[in-house]
Amino acid sequence: MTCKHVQRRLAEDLPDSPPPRLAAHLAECEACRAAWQRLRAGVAALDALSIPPAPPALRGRVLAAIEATPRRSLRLAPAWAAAAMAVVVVSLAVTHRPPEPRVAAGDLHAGGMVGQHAAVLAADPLADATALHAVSALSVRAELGEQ
Amino acid sequence: MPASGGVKRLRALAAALAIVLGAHLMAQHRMTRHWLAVARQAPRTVSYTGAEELTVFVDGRAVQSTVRVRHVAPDRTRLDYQDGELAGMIVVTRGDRSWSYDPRTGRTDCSTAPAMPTELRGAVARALPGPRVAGRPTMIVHLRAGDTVQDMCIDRATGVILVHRTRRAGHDISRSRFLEFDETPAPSLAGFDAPGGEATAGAEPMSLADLSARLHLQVRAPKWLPAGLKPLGTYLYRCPCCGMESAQLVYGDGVRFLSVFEQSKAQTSCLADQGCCALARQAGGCVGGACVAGSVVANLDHDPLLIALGDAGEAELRRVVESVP
Repeated sequence: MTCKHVQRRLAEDLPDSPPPRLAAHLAECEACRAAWQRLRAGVAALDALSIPPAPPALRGRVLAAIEATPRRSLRLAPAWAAAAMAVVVVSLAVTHRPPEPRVAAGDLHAGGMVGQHAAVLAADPLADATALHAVSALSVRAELGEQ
Repeated sequence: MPASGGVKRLRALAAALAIVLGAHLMAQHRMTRHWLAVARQAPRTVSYTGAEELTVFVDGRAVQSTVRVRHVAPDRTRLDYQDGELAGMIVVTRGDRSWSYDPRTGRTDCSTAPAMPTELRGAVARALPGPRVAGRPTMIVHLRAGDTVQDMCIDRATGVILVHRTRRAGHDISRSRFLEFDETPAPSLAGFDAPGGEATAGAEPMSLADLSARLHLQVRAPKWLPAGLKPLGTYLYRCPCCGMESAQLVYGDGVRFLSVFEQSKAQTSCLADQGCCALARQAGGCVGGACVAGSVVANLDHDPLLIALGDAGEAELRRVVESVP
């Protein structure tokens, strides 16, 4: 896991305690550890804030305002409703296609699998083990984002 | 109508030519098999040291390095990658196990992979006298299956392969060539410890039944393979990124090799739009179709998910993937 991974991870989610791989990185990287501590401190400060109670009359005023708001009717004339339904049905019939299996090629991230494929083949006595081990390492780097 | 004397002579000449050509082809075939058997056996009996120059083509770019090689018969090898992007990388092999340490990632991956029962199946093969490599006379063995070509220069004295060149669809995939080569009759066994720190488990041989039980899915072999490819082994795969486990089925014909990976749909972090591997993809880490092992094709709707990669075109890999029941 690289600093870039950690920063993205922290931007997406901030668990109470770091999972093992994140913890291992934080143990080694001072910059990421400091970022983690700053973010946790911010969350802790937010958690510590108390929410002031609402004035007792507020609930009644809000409910009264909702009741007083006129409701808009969505009723349509039967002919218009039938026409709209027909347009929807025809559109679906024209545009709908059964889903095809997503057989994808070329844009997959399969670095780890390519790496193991090469590592397994390197065991053959006729194989170019020097090249295959290099390919394996480069593929694992790609998987980990370590170009 | 009886044939004239001229026609008879022509027929006799054609028959003689066919016999000579057949004998020549059989001799070629025998010689190729002989040199491949010598090369296969050489690591069991010959200890040596040397330096190789290496070029691999990954994701459309050439990666080069000089590699110090030390081999102690029958089954210990150490590779020290000395320069370029791979500088500092160390691979140690002892028997079926190999440890690969990469200073760039700080990882040591440990794989267990026995030598596979590869035979040449339907490949075009021929042997010819080759050039001197590292000052030593060689034989060239040329192998071709599909659009994959392998050329090797085999040391005539020891049987060690001194040059490897692999091409696919007219493009170089990898090249390695010994610059120095010395036999070491009394080698030291020092230096074959696992490099780096704690090792991460990599490839592990496992039967289809054990894989199915471990992964909670029915691992099934494809019903269609490119002509000549046969099953070579089945392995457990662990993603180096998230630890997700898959089954790996390896097929080959002695020249071309491909793998089919099967993983439970319940564990899709590596192919879904979330998880650590997707981060690597966003970072430009994808090796996809331009990878050195050939193409990569997946069926993301099948359960288990199917991924095929290796020395085959996209259409062939697609057919392999679609043939899994």
